[in-house]
Order: sequence, then structure tokens, then C-alpha cells
Amino acid sequence: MKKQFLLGLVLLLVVCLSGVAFAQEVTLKVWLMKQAEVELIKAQEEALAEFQKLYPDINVEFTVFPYNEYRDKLLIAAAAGNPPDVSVVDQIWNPEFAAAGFIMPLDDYVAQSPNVKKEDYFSGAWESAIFQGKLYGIPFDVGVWALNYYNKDFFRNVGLDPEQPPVTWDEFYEMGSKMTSGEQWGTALYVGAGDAVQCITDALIFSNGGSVLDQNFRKCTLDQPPAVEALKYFKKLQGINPPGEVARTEEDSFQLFTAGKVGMFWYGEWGQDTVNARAPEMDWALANFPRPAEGESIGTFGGWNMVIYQNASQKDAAWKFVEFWTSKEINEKVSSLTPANIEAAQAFLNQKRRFPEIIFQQLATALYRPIFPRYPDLAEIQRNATTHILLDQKSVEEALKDATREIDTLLDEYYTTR
Amino acid sequence: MIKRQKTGKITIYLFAVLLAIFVLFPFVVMISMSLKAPDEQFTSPPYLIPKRPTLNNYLQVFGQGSMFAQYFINSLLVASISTLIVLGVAIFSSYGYARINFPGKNILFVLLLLSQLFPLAAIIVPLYRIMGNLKLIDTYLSLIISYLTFSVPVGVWLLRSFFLGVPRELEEAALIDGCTRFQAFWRIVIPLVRPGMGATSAYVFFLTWQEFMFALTFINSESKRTLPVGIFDFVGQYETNWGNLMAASILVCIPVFVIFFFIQKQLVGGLTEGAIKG
Repeated sequence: MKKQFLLGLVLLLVVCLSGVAFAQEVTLKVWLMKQAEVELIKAQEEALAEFQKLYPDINVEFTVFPYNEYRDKLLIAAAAGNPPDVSVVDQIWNPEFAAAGFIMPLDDYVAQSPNVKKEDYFSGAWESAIFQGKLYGIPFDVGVWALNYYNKDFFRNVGLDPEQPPVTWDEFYEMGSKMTSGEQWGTALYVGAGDAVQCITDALIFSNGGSVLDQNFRKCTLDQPPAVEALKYFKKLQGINPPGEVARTEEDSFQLFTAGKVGMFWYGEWGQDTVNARAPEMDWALANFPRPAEGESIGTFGGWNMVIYQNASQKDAAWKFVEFWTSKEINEKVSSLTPANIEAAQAFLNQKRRFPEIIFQQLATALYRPIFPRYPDLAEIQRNATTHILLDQKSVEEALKDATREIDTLLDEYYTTR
Repeated sequence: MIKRQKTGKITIYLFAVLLAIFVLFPFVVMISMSLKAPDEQFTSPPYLIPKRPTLNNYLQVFGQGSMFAQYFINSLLVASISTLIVLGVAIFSSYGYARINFPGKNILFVLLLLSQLFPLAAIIVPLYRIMGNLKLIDTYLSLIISYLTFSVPVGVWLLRSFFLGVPRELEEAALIDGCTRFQAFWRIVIPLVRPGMGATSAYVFFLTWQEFMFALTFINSESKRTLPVGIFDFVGQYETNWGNLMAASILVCIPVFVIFFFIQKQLVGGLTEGAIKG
């Protein structure tokens, strides 16, 4: 009897104490990507201290993962019902996480927020977080595929003016063919296994006025003339590029560029530090992604959005953190890629990148990849079509027609089962 | 005749050298890469010997912002404890399977081996839920327990063959001389299977040292990650820090090399010596 009484007392005490603790302090679990730069880790710590000064009752617990493990960890944790409260997700995972019910719409928070406004962020990044009319994430950082990195010596060697890089598709091809000999090439394409090649082919299609899916993301438009022409151009570039592009990854092509084997290379703005580290002697510059004679240079967005999980016990606190982390002042300091907040991006680019105006302009017009919860499957169909085209297994028209049919089936399958 | 022997020897040497080159080449490239600055890593044509060798990659692996040293300690801890437990269980269990007759022995042994047929991916979800219910997610214990699921059967199975290799007569002689069964086991048999114990623990250590999937699934905190998971810190979303990655890979290999060197000596010398003198 005495024992039971004592036990009851202890239990009561525990409940009271933990109840008090909950009322006073909140602990937010936040998952981010691992950053290698010491400076950035320091900046994150400082920003966190600032947040805790603003909201002393909110504790933030960071857990970081390297890119390769990040998606698996998030999916396992979310599926097991034990996700973090807040995390960043790749733009192309955003619809998947939204459709699975892992993350919550943020429209109400945004409507009431004095700080988070749509127009403060790159529109392509903002729209990447919208799924079926609702906003599921706030853009954190961005990148654009692609800019044209070029080696000025290649231009000089063939009598071209290195200050006049190619603007149009035709100029890119012609200059590239001048640089192409048995030993060196105009550019290095890549397919590999990742999503980079889709970003490149999408950018070619966007620049040519086309799209991958229609406006409602319900029908594939890859068999339309803009896409067909874009892929025909991509195929043509095979002639000014070293063999092996299907097996090659963007990293391999990058190495060909820094080793001085190719004169031009399509890659995002974040590659600058790596070019400098691997080829400190190279006289390189950056130009906009080439456009068709009658088109506009439009790149493809990459980047990360901040999301709040349905299972988060303290959603208001989570929102406060998202608001803080994506604000101009903080976003600029804690991001390794270009910040998604436009003002922060300008400051960041001016401070950390060469050719900031070109990059900014390319970011401002960039478009996001198709919004579809099963995007990885869609991307694989696209990649297979690109591979068939480059390996001469199918004509461009045929490959894209097949891909369109497959993607339409995928879309139908997905939307009819909901 | 002599000539024929000579050409035979030369061929053997030739193939041995070829094999060594084949096996060692990737490792040599790793070492070379780990000693190069980024601008020397991907040149065309490539070369093995760095023009300006640097230890920067190694310093960066242990430098500020890197958790490598912590990962190393974690791996060492988890692998050593798992190995000790496996060995403790396996010496008794495998002796039993080798020497003692008991009902259901064969079926139990087959079941033990059968557990090895399950792909790890199939048991990871139930294990995750069990660990979750036991509140063991994100603890070293979750790793050690799950490593036992696949390493105990391997350990028992490996060690059993070493016990079978010890002549029964030695034990019988010890019993006649007045030893109890346990004394015979402990004083006579165990010293004879020491090489087997070494080989088994080395094998179990390798298994757990390199385990990736459980380590990825059960551990969240950065401070508790093990090496196979942690080494991905050097692989970014877009670019990989090859110099650091290769330096870290070399460092990961070192304990394995050291253990193998040690075990190899035991393996060659141990078994026959003890048996003949005993």
C-alpha cells in the first residue's frame, strides 16, 4: 500500500515536472545537409545563437546528413512517423513529401507573416514548392543549370575573341567545332545516372519555348516541336564532344574541363570554387546558357526548400524557425548555395562569386522541373529517351514520342489511383 | 627437366606479380590521390607520383568541422564490442555443435545457417520497429545488437570447423589424466583453437567495421555515426572532395591491415605447433 502510494507520488511528480517543462521550453528537431566549410558551420552556430536570443523558449537541435544519405534518412524517419519538425528538402522531393502527407501546407502561416513574402524569393524556387494549389515549403537556397563555363585559352588558340562567348545555339556549336580536334573538344556532354542531364535538356527545351509537362502537370509535352528541336540540338553537340557521354557523369565532364580537354562546359554557379581549386592557372569566364536564335536563355532551377512536418508537435515554433532561417539577413550567411531570398542572393553573389550579374540574371528567369510526386520515375523516362537518342537507338522524334506515351501513362496511373 | 621447372617458376612469379598489380593498383591510386592537391588530382594525362606531395588532405580529415576522428572512435567501439560478444558466445556454442550430441542439434545448426540466407534488407524494417519500441534508435546498443544477428551465426559456423580440427584423442587423454570436461575444454582445446578464434574475430571485426545499412538506418546523431556512413561527409551534392575522401579511405583501411597482419602470423604458425607438442 505504501509502495503504491509512493509510486503514485513519483508518477505525479514526473507528470507535473514534464508538464511544466513543456509549457516553458520547446525543442525543435531540425535536419539539414552536412556542410564541409568551416566558415559556414560557424555562421550556422552564430545564427542559431541569435535565434535563441530572439526566442529563448525554443531550443533548436540540428542534425546534419551528407547528401547521399539525406533522402533515405528523411523517408525512413517520416514513414516511421518520427520525422524532424523542420528540414530542408530538394525541390524535386517537395511534391512527393506533400503527396505522402509528411509535410504541411504553409499558406496560412505565410498569409499572416509580416516577413515571408512571395516576391522576396526567386519565383521559380517559390513555385517549386506549390503542389495542387498549396504551398508546402519556403525556398532556402537555389542554383541554376546551367551557365556556360569557358576556357579563354581555347578561344585564343583558334582565333576567337574570348570576350565574345557564344550567345546562340548556332554560335555555341560553331565555336565548339573550331575547338574540336583529335585531342581537344568544344564541350563535354554528360548523362550519367543523376538528375543533372534532365536539368540540361529541360533548360534547352525551356529556352526553345517548350516544356516537359503542360501547365497543370497532367500531360506530357515532350513530343511537341520545341522539345524535339531542343533534343536534336543536344544530339548535334555530340559532334563536338569526346566520346562516352552516356556513361559520363557531370563530375567526369567537370574533370575534363578543368584538365583542359574541353573548352566549354555547362554547369551551375556553385562550381566556381572547384574550378579554381582544380585549375588555379586556368583563365576562365562565365556566360549565359546559350539560347536558340529566336529564344530566351532559360535555365533549370535546383535548390532546397524548408518544410514543416505534419507530425511536428510545435508547429508555431517550427514556423518561427523557418521564417528566421529564410530571412534576408540569415539566409545570406547560412547558405552554401545561392540564397533563395533575392536580396540575400544579390549580396551573396557579389561577395562570393565571379560574374554575379550573369548568374543573377540566369536565376531570375530559371524554371523549375515538372511538379509530380513521382518525379524520379518521370526523370528516368526522360533520361532513357536521351540515352536512346545519343546512342542512335531511336530517332529524336521516336524517342520523345515513346517517352511522352510512357510519361502520360505514369501520370494517368498516379492521378486515377488517388 | 630443370629448365622446365625454371620456366614454370617464372610463369608463377609473372602471374603473382600481375595479380599483385591488379589488386594493389586501386590502393596505389588512393594513396596517390590522397597526397595530391586538387589541381593535381585530375590532370590529363594522369600521373601517379604527386609533383608537390601534400599532407593537407590528411590534416583536413582531422581538421576543424570534420567529425572523422569521432566516427573512427565510434566504429572501433562498436566493432570491438560486437566482436568480443560474438567470440564469447561462439566459443561455447560452436564447441557444443562440434563435440556434444544433443537432441535437435542438426536442425538447430541448419537454422543457424538459414538465418544467413535472409537478406539484411528484409530484416531491417522489423528490426527498426523493435529498436524503436525499445527506445534504442540512435544508440550504439542498437548497432551492436543488430550486428550480432548476422555475426554470431557466422562466428559459430567458422569456429566450429576449427574445433572439429582438434583431434578428439587430445581431449580424451586430458580426461583420463583427471581433467573435468570443462578443464579439458578450457586448458587443452581452447589454446589449440586460438588461431581459429583469431581468424573468427578478425572476420567478425571486418564485417562490423564495414557495415553500412544498419548504421545508416539506426543512427541519427552525427556524434554517434560510424565510418562507413560518416565517410560520405566528403561527398557533396554536386562535388566530391576527392583528396579528403581518399585520405579518409586510407585511414579506414589501416586498422584492417594491422589486424590482418597480426592474424596472418597466428594462422600460419599456430595450429600445428600446439597440436604436435601437446
